[in-house]
Amino acid sequence: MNKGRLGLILIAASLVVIAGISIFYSIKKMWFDYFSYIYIGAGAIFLIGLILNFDNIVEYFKTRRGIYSLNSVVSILLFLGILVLVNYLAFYHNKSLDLTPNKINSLSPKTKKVLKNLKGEIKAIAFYKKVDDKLRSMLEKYRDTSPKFQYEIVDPDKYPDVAKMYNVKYYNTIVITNGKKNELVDSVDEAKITAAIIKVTSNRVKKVYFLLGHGEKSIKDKNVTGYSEIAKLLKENNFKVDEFSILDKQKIPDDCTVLVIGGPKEKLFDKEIKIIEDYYRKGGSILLLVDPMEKYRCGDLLKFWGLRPENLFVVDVNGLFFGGQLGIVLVKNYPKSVITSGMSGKVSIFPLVVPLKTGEKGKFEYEKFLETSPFPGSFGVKDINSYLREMNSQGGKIRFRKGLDVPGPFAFGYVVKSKDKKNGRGRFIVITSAGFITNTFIKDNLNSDIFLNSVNYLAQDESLISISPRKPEDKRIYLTASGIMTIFYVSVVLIPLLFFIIGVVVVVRRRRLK
Amino acid sequence: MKKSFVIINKELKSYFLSPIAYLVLTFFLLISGFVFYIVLAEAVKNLTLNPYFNEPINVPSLIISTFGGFVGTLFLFLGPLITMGVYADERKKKTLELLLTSPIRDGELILGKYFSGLIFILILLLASYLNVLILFYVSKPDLLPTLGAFLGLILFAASLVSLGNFVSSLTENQIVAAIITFILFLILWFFDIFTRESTTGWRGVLGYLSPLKHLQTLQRGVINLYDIVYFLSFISFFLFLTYRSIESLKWRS
Repeated sequence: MNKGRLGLILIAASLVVIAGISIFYSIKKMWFDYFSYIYIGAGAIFLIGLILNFDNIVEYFKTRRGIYSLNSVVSILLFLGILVLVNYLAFYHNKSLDLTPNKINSLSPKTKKVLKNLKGEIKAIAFYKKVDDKLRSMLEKYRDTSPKFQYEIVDPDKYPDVAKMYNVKYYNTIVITNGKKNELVDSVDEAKITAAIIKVTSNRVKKVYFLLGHGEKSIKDKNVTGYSEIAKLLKENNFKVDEFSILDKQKIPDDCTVLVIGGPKEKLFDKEIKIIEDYYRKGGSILLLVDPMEKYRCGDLLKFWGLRPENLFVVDVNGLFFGGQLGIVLVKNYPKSVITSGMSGKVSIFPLVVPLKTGEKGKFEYEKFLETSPFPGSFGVKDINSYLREMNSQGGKIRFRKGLDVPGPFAFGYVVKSKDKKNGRGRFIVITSAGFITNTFIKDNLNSDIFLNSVNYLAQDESLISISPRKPEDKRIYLTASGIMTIFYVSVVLIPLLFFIIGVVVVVRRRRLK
Repeated sequence: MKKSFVIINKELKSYFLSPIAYLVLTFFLLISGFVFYIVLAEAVKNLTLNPYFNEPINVPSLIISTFGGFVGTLFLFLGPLITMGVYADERKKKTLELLLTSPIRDGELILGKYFSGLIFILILLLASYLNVLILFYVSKPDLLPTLGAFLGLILFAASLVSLGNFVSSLTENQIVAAIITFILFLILWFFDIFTRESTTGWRGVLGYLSPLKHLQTLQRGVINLYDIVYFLSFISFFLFLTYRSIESLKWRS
């Protein structure tokens, strides 16, 4: 065997090995340490092959043909290099023009600003079973706005380990990550995705304070009625968590992003109520959880927002059936709201709730997001003791007593929005079931999501909340059956026929000319 | 450059004086017209007359993008047939040598050949867009996005023709040229389909290489600088390759 042929074989063999490993890696996504050695080895063999062929190569390039082909190859590579560079520049300094009248392909100015200021890479991992058009076009918008934004759509059933790594529990969850911090988003919603990007990238830590001093549930309490689990969950979601008492400091801490009042057992002092109201007026965010087990149901606090707890014991038929206890409320259908969007059909459980009555409208707007099932699914009992006595005497069957009991549904969770900045610039959410996020209740249901969504909403930047999804202009086509038939004749018959006739005329005339 | 127009004139004449061009045109319009009719009828039935459909929806723009996507797919099959003979046929008939030794410069020849193929496919495109004009008669589609989508199809077709020209310059066999062009473009097409789920790493690069991805953005009514740059790069790259390939014929023989 001559030198040249041996060289060619070596080159071919080394290329096969390199290609084989590359293909294996791109399919299996596995890289073994010894691969690197093989790679280097194959590269060396490739070089040896070249050296063995050195004479031939030199000879070839001495011929006219060789010179021309070298010239050709070099110029093509050069041209390609320039094109790659131009495309690279265009991609990383992209200008985008949205031609649609409602700008449905564009992100809001706020989001654009956030993306423009991105320092490192941001990746969105969407856990979807099927590639959804809405999802893809939303992610594409981000991608087109910033080349630092990457996305990946992953089927959680095919890659359960990846889903587990990011703590994803439900389908259609989008994880926003910068490699260090992760944020979960539960729907294809620009406000939520952008909020998550801000949260992942900003160094400012948002802090949730739990009020103490009136028998509220504590984040240090690891018992069944404590809040230790929910505090852990907040930390996992990039919040800092702490407890405080107004009496110690005479004010709400300055670094407080969200104030949680978790089921006070005793009345708050008037002075404390005033401090809380002031905090709200100046733009603070408050999540109030009323504990229905107690006599004190925060009526004095709620008055400021025009809300009143009703003195009713709510009986929920499904709750009793699944929870085994009178008073447990099971929610499956949620009123449309920012907190519970996309939750419809999934279960959340509340141990006892107090119905809330909204006061005179005018100062505030009320968006209810939690509600018991409509009658006969739920009803309210005024005197629970006499009801229980009656129930026991009748063999433990629950029964709606016409005239005595009040038919449902009852709202027990509200987002309160102030209509005028004068009434307060803050945000307020109330849920009248302090027990629903205790350590026993947050497992295996939507309770923790409802709580987290509430806190996320309260902690969001003002400007993000105003981002509403862009919708296309509503344009429909109204045609009668005969109108559609006319289009059929024009599109399928007339237009093709027209060109056919032109063709016949041209060809026939040409034949005659000959 | 003047000589390019001579080439264009000659090529277009040979296209439009033969019955085959009109048969292609008629056939193409028959299929695209039928698809247009189906898309429109379905949209009217399902989106306008459906009382449960309350979300705001822009039916005309939906029809235009669906129709545009279909015309693009049709080009994938038609394009190779239009470009297959450009050089292959001349090479087979040995007329290319005549052209190359004539006072026409290689660049002029290549541009002339390229634009005549492109003009032919643009005539197909324009004729099929008569259907969209009907849409303007029965409703009020947004003009700008429609033009943007049209621009996308023009650039897409222009890319297809440049690739087809290059492949045709490599062989004397028209059928081989058509098949290779089709396969190459199909591979590029699938680059998008296989990389839809991710923009990271090599999948992002492959996706970027696919003309389909860039066509889709324009069909949505967005013009990205990089989409335009991509198409222009694609076209100029294959024109340059064609140039090199034709030039090599001189010194290879």
